[in-house]
Amino acid sequence: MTDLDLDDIQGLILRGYRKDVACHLVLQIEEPGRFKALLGDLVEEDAESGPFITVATDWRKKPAVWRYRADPADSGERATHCINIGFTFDGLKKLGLEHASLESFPAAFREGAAQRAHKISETGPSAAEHWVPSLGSGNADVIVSLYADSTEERAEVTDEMLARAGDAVTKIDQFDAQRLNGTDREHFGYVDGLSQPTIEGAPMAGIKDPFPPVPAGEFVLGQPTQRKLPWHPVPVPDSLGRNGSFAAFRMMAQDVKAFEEFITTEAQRAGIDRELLAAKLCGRWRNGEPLVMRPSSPPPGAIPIPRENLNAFDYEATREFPWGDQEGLVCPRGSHIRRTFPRSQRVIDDFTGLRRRIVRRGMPYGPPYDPSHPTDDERGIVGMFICASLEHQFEYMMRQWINDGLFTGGCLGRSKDPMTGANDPADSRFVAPGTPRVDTRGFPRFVTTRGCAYLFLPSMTALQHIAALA
Amino acid sequence: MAELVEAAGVGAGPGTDKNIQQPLTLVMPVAYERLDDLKATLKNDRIAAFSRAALERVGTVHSTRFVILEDAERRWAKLLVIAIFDGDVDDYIAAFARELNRVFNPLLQFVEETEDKPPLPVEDNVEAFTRYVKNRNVPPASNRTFSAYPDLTALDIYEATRPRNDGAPSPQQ
Repeated sequence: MTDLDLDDIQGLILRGYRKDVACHLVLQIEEPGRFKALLGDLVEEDAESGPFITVATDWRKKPAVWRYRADPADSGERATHCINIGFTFDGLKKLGLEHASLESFPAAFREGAAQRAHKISETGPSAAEHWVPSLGSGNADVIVSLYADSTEERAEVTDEMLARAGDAVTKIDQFDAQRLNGTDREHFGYVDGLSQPTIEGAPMAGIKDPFPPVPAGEFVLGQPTQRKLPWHPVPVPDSLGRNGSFAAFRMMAQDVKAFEEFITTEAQRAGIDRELLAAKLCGRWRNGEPLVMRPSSPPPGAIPIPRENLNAFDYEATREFPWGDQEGLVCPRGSHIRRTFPRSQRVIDDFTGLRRRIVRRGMPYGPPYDPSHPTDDERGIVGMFICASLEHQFEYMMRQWINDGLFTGGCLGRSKDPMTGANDPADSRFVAPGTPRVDTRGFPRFVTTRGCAYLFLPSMTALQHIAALA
Repeated sequence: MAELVEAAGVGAGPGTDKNIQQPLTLVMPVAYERLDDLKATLKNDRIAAFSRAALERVGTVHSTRFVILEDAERRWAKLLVIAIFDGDVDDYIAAFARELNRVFNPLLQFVEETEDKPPLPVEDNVEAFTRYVKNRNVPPASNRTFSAYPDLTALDIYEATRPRNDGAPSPQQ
C-alpha cells in the first residue's frame, strides 16, 4: 500500500469534489516576483487570509476549519469551494526555474498541447489554429480552477483570487462550467464521470471498479507505478517534481443537434430503437447503466442498477464475470467506453486496458440543449485529463484508442470513437455486431476541440519551492 | 476465416481499410569480426524467450525473423530484421525500443559503428533508434505486395481464432 502524503498533493488529482459549478481562470504572468509571493500565500495554512489550494486530504477526517472555509450548513466538515492550480511550461519558465530543472520535464509537456495537437488527430476544425485564442496562442501561463457549490460562491472566490493577484497577472480568459440542471449528465444526455480509477492510498472517490487499485504513481509523480520504471524520471529537484502531476486541460464542444439527428436518422435506417443505438455508440445507456449489464432496454418498472454497481463489469470472461462480452455482441468493441477504458480486454502494448488509466475531471459548459428549441449556442465539456505521462497515457489514449482502431481485436480497422473521435464523413464507420447488427458510415465528428493546455500540477512542497525562487 | 471475420463484425471484404499491415526490412551492417558472436547471440534461448514474450505483449507483429547475409570472401555481413506489423512505423519502432531492448541492445553491439548508429541502451535513445531503423528500412521493390488478409491486424486474428466464450469460465480460471 502506498503511503501518500495527502496534505502535499493537489486535491483534484486524487478526488472529485462533486461541486455544482466550476471556473477555470487562464492567466498570464506579468510580474513573476509578485506572483511567487501570491503562490506562497496560497499554500499557507491560515484560514483567515483567503483562498487556499485544496489538497487531497479527506476533509471529513479533519477539524471543521482546516485550510477551507467551514460550511455551517454541513457541520463545518465540507469545503464550499475548492481551488487548484496548474502551470504551462511557459509559466514555469517565467517563474525562474533553473535550466536543468526545466529540461528535466518530459518533452510532451515542454512542447505543449498546441505543438503536439496533430499527434492526437487534433486536425481540421480541432486544429490548434482554430482553438480559443487564450489556449491556441501560447500565452497561457497558469490555469486556476475553482469548484464551488453555487455561482455566487464561484463569483466571490474568483473576484477574491483576482483581487489578491492584482497586477501580478492578467486574466486572459475564463471558462465557466456547471452541472446540467443539477444532474451528472453531459450535453449528449449520458450520465458522466462514472468510470474513474481507484487509486492506491487515496481517499475513495467515485464508484469502485472491480479491478485492483491502481498504484498512485500512474497519477502522482515519484510514487510507485504499475511498471518497473516510471514513464519519465521525476522532474528535478525532487522538491519540485515529487507529488506533482500532469494534466491536459481541455475544452471540447459537443454538437448535440448533429448527434441527435444522426441517432434518429440511423435508427430509422437500421430499424432499431434510437435509444438502443445511442447506447451502442456509448457502451452505456444514457442513464449510465452499462450495456454489458443491461443488454436491452429495461421494461417499465424494472429496478435500476444501483449507482455503486455501475462499474461492476468486464468484457473478458473471468471468474467474477463469467459471461463477459468477448466478441462485442452486447457492447461493441468500437463504442466510446470500450475504447476509453478497455478494461481487461486484450490490447496492444500492454496486454490489457488496465495499464493506462487516466483521471477525468470534467463539467459541462454552455446552456443545456433543448430539443424543442434547438439553438446553435456553444456547449461542451471543460476539464482535466490527469496522468503521470501526457505522452504515454493521455496522448496514447487519444491516438491509439480514440482515434484509431488497431489497438485491439475485433476488426475495427482504422475507425475512431463514434462519439468523441475526429471522424470524417468520408471514412467514418461504426459497427455493432450482434442482433440487431448496426453498420453505419459517413457520420461527422460530434466533438470538436476548442482548446487544450498541458499543465503541471505541483505539490504543496513544489509551490513553496517555486515561491522561494529568487 | 471469412466466417470468423464476419462474426467479429467486418462486413466488407479486404481492401476497405488501408495502411493496416506494414512491412519492415531492416538491414544493418555487421562488424564482421564479431559475426560469430552475433550468431551465437541470435541462438541464445533466453533472448529468444524474451523476444517472444515482448512481441506477444506488443501485439502488433504478425511475423518476424532475423536473417544474416554473409559474404566470407569479401568479409562482410548484414543482419536483417524482417517483419510484418500493424500500424504506424514510429509506434512500432518505439515499441521495439521499449519492449525489445533486451534483444536489440546485445545485437547492436555487433553492428558496425556507423555515424547514425544510436547510442545504447536503445530504450533511453528512442528517437535516435527510430531514425536509425527508418533510415535502414529497405522498402519493397514494388508496391505489389500480397497479404492473404490485408485488412486484419494480428489482434483481429487472435480474437477471431481464440475459443469463443460459451458462458462458462475457462479451465484456467
